[in-house]
Amino acid sequence: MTNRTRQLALGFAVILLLLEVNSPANAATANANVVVQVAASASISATASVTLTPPATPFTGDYTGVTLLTFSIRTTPSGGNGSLTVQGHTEFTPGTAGDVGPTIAGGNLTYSCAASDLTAGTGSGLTGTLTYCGGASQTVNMTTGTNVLTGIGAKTNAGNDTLNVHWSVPDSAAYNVDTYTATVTFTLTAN
Amino acid sequence: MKFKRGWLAISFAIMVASRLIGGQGPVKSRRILATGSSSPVPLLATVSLNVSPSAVHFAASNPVGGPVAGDSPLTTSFTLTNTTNKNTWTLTIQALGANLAGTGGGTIPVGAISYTATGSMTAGGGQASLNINNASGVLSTTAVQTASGFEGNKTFQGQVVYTLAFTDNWNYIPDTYTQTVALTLTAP
Repeated sequence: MTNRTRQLALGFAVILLLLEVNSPANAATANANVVVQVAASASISATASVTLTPPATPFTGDYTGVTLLTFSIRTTPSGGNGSLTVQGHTEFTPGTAGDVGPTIAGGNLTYSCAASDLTAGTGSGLTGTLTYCGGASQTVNMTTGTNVLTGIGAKTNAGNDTLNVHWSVPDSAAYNVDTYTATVTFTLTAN
Repeated sequence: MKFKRGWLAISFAIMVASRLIGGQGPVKSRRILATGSSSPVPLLATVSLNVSPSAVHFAASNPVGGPVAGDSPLTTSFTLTNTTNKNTWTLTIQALGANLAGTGGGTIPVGAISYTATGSMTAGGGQASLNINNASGVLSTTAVQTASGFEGNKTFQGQVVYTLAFTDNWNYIPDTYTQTVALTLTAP
């Protein structure tokens, strides 16, 4: 080995030593958990108002109209359920005080809906054996909620489903000519 | 030939010795130039890291309400000793799994949890610094560098606070979901 070769070998060895000694990095890691509690939940909105239209021939049918409901719901996987009801909120009020017209209390506001009125949105959808508007025309009650959509089952995950609710008010010759306004409240529950 | 073997043996022995000392990371030649041949090799920075609380909880009661804030921010406090003025430290955040796991087997992607990071240096000297690199984002299994800075020439103390939020969705099945987040501080 020549002197030049020895010098290179020595330099190589020293460089290796220095590089290795100075190479490490210290690190410390600490952990934390993120815990999410997802609860059963429901949300609903409705078209703000609907004006009922009279029958083609006066006094031969009902004033009718449709409210579009948009709702989302999720229920617990075990034993969960949900339901949608409607209740009169304010009674029919005439534009002119004293005029006589339909009343909710008198059973003049009825509604109906069917499976064909439901449009699925996102998610796995509604579970359970669904009943739409009680399976027949229902009468709105001022004191208690009546069924719109019942039988929503466990592990429902439905986002932005829509449901049409069809209104009817009889066209009676006994009513004074006027505009009558009432409000109803839809309630969607989830467990 | 005998002399050559001797040098090879010495080289190998030096390499093994250096490994035993602890070398395993990336090469940093800067320190060699700074210490000089007559000074001892500087010590590694000593890293101390604490995260509080041990768990952040989110009450996801309704997706309509927008992101749900955690019940507490996640505060990372750390101390560096044996610092070297211009050496750079880094802090990363990383989820240890792709999903939050529900007790019933359901999952939620960890990306449903977002963070906003803020930080401050509470002690340090020389060129010590603390910079927020990715002030906001969502959790992922990739370690994301959220803060870094220079160690400075004195004991360094800093704090990075993560404000977490959960974005709820109607598709999530009611349950309790958990995942672990790792905060890692590295200093040369």
